[in-house]
Amino acid sequence: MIGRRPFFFAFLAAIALILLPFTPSEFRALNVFMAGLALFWSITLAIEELSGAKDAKSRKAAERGPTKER
Amino acid sequence: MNITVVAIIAVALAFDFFNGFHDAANSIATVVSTRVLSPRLAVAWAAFFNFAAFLIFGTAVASTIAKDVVVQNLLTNGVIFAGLVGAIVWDIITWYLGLPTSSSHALVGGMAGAAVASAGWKALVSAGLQKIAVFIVLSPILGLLLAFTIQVAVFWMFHRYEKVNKLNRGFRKMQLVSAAAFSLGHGANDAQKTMGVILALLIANDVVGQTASVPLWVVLSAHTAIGLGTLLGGWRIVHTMGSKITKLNPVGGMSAELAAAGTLFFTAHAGIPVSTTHTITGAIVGVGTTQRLAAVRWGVAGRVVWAWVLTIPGAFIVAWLCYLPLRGLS
Repeated sequence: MIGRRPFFFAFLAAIALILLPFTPSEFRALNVFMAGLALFWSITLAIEELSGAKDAKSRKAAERGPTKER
Repeated sequence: MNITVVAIIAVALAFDFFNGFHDAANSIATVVSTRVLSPRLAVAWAAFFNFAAFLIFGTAVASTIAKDVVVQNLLTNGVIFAGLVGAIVWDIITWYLGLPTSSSHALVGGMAGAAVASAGWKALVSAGLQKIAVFIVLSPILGLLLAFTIQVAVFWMFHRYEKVNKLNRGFRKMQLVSAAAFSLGHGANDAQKTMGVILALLIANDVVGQTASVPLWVVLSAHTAIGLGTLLGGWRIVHTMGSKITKLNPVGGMSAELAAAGTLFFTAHAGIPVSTTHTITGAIVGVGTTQRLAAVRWGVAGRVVWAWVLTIPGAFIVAWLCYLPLRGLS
């Protein structure tokens, strides 16, 4: 389950890109840099949260112990 | 220089003084709320670096205010005076309501409102206003992203370090540096807006030529006014910036200030008038976001955003109304 933070950063990236045509041409590189940075954090946080959720699931399974004993 | 010009320069410097007074909280909120400095010392520290900014930065922002908001030959004494009054009145209203709004955007809105009252919509420079409008949105987001990045980088670098007390002492010292950097950015950006107004006034009255740069006495007086304003400033609203948006520790304070300072250095260099209030608020939200989104009090942040949205139209209307009885000055 992905939390809200990756979506928040994706939203910031979208704003930077939406404003690209309205930004004076000499500063457009800044929009691209901001969108790139926001997307980087969005993806990184999504991976972290997905792997965190997977770890928590396997930890819970380990705490419960083996379900069947042979 | 006639008496009208001198009187309007005095009003512009009063606006600059009030800007320092109003925004002192932004410069020192994090150092005070993390108890790195007492409020009195923090204010003196910020005031010194507000003044010192003139040694480092140029006057690109001043040129933008003087030449890229209102068509130059339509700028008259009446327009400039009404613009300043509109901005000051709007600042007082929002200060009374306890909203950390932008004096800079109040000034832009005020100048635009008075110019439209004087000569209609053709008085506005659309390219310049578009640049300012785009950076109203971009500057807090840039502050947010940089603060988040710095904070995470610091966590990565020091997460295995076990001497937490020693580490905190180090960050407290670093916060003095970051607060100084932010105050430099604040002085550079906000004092230049007043310089821009005074430059426009001097050009309108043929005291200097159309292509003249900002005279040194204008630079020094603007930095002195903002420094004095900060020195006597309103550290009573430190609490709003320093702890109402999110709770800060020395590491978070340092990250927020460095990020905001970086944003302000860039915009001062590029000649873009941005709000120091917007920038530091974005940076503080960025620090809060490293914990979780719920660590940020979005209700407070939302109230601040509404105040931002209303600033330019609000100051525009007040200045427009102020201009009507002042037509004789033009």
